[in-house]
Amino acid sequence: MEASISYLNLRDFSKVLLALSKIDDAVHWQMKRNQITLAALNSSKSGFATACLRQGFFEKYVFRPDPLQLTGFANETIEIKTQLRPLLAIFKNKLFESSSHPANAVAASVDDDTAMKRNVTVEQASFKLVTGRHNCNLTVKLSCKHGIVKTFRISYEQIESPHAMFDKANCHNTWTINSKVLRDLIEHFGQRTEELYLEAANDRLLLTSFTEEVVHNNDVLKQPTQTSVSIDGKEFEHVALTQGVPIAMSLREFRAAVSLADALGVDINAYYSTPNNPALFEIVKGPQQDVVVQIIEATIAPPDVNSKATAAAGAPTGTGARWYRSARTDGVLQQAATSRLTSMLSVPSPARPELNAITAAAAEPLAAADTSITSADIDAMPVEPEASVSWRSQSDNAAEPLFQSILFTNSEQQGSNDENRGSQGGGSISYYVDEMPNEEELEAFADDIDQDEEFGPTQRQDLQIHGIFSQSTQR
Amino acid sequence: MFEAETTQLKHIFLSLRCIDFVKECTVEIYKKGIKFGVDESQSLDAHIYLQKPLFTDFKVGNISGDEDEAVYAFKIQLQPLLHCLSIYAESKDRMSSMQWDQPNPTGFMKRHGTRCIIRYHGKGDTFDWIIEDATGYKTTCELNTMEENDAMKTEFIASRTTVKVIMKSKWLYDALLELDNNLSDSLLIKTLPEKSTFALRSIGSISSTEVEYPSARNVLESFKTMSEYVHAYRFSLVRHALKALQASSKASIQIDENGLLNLQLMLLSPQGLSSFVDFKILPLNLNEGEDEQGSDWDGRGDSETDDADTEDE
Repeated sequence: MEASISYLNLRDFSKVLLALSKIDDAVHWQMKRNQITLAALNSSKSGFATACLRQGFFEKYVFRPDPLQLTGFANETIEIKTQLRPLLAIFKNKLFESSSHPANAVAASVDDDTAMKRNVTVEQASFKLVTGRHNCNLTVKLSCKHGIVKTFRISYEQIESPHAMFDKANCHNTWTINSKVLRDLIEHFGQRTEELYLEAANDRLLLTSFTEEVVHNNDVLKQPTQTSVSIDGKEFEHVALTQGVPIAMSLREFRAAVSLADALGVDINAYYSTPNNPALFEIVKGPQQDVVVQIIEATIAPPDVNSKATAAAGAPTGTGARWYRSARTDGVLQQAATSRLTSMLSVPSPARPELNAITAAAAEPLAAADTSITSADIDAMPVEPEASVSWRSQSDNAAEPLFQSILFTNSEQQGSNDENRGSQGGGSISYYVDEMPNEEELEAFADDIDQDEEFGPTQRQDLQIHGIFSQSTQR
Repeated sequence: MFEAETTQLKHIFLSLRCIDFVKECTVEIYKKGIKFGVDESQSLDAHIYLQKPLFTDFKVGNISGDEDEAVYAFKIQLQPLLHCLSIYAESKDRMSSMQWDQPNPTGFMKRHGTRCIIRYHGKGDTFDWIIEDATGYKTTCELNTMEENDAMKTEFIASRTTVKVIMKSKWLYDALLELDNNLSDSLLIKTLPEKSTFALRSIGSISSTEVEYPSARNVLESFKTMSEYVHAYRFSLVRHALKALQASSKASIQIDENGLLNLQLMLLSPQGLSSFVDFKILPLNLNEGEDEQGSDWDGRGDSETDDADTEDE
């Protein structure tokens, strides 16, 4: 097998490797006639990532398998596994550019004399699988500027690649969002946060991160901190969610997926259904889908979900109220598409700030569209359109920030949300209140927190934060 | 007695920092300059030459002797001296590339106003550095001297050079950093006269890295080799040279017929003055038969001839 990647795609390749390294230390290569699939499975088998690079991604791709190495008869495949550390070291600290590129002509002359810039300009990388009596290795050759050639030989073992089974069609929760937006929001989660809860609540997607005990100055925070970010449905390119039980998964893989999508500059798609079924995050890049990265995570039901909330939201099987939104078809009432996964419904929404009357307005077209949905073979949807689709209620105003941090709730919030909920009952937010530390405990940490940068004054109870980007004390 | 005065404190500090990996340092005062030397595990020998032009005043006492002999020789500990110099020489730009010509906007100590007097009266006396700043801060550093026992003296005879390469330091620095990833024990240097290639390789447990340089003028300023050679050196010793490589602008690599590597680095000060750092490293496997590490380029044992590999070289 011989492949070479030009400088245009080398950066993407190194980002893919970086994402895979967050899943596991080793990567499986599955080389076929017209594509290479990289796969990584983590040690607890709860996270799996695969990156399929099709022939178009490579500048040159030659598949001349050594018969001794093949596995599979119908579809010739070579399957090997290598460590990721040497691969990452190869691509670290490198500039991927062509020296003949006009933009670099100026840069090159400056670079030579400003000493010690470690950036080495790589023009092309070629991969070769070398098999022989003595030398069995994956050879990576980087052709750099000025004719310098760096050769790296990494040893491999022949082992079967893992595969994951995932049924996209059975996922009734899906969304697509611009990765930069999502990445900026994810950054609000604490550094050592481990778990993530995804939940659809009231036309918004709620992401909550949960921290295990954090040691700070010899004190252990007795109550874990939760950070919640809720994203309005309008931020998504496409969203179709069922209000139901939140699902929990490891934040590490999710973060890796979001950073990769952001580095590649494309949207990120998510597919999941109910807890205990895996969740898929998919990133596709390239006109012919030359790069398809899928990260699959195991999910569980968060153990501490308030039963009241569950009852209000619907049975755990996910037949709670459903809501859809698609940016692509904004303003146009659309017939639902045939497949479950891609069904979208858009409610004609007037200019966003002025949505006072929408509750009534929305109900009607939705009711009309309701019938069309059921006829398009979707999960049976309970008829509660008012609750799920009423984007705004009368009390909302134009100044309401787009993203709310529901770290601290108070009665005002609950009150206004109650109006929103309609038939859902006012208890949906109550499960958060139970998690919040009470005042005495907070007081005990007040001094420490004051001085600390990470847990600073934003955590104090007297400061009401509404919105990540604004700190208004008035709701 | 010896007395010298200089204003090139920063340059001296950066030069001395390059050999700061061993506790004790040998100081030799010649008629034409000062030489600081360190050695490690009998296989590495490093020296810094600070020549007369660096000093505004250089007086070595009236001892007659030829120019090539050290007038005074003793040992000091380098760390305290470096700590003292760092007060004046160190600023925000630590490892950055712009260390030479960026003025320090926030420091009080103006570099051009710093004056340093170095004094040594004779055997038994302390080695004194008196540094005075334009604003009036004065630091006196008196270093206790120790007797110099026979330091390792490796002789490098220029006539027996088999490989000589001159290149820009940054290429060599970059190559060594790449090679360091493998956590391997040894560094291999290979030269091929036919193809005019100069290659460095390190072999680790799971991967091996090789950097090959073409004989292009802008990379290798000069390249001479008598025939095909492969030499091996202990990587931990070569690693000591990394700091010096980072500070220097040009590197000259010479290997003699015994395999002794002589790495000479030139550090340039912004005023155009230069000092030289010199590393002499003994090769691995002096062919006494005991060391089976072997300087074979491909890292295999020197066993059977290899079958046709599917690798096309």
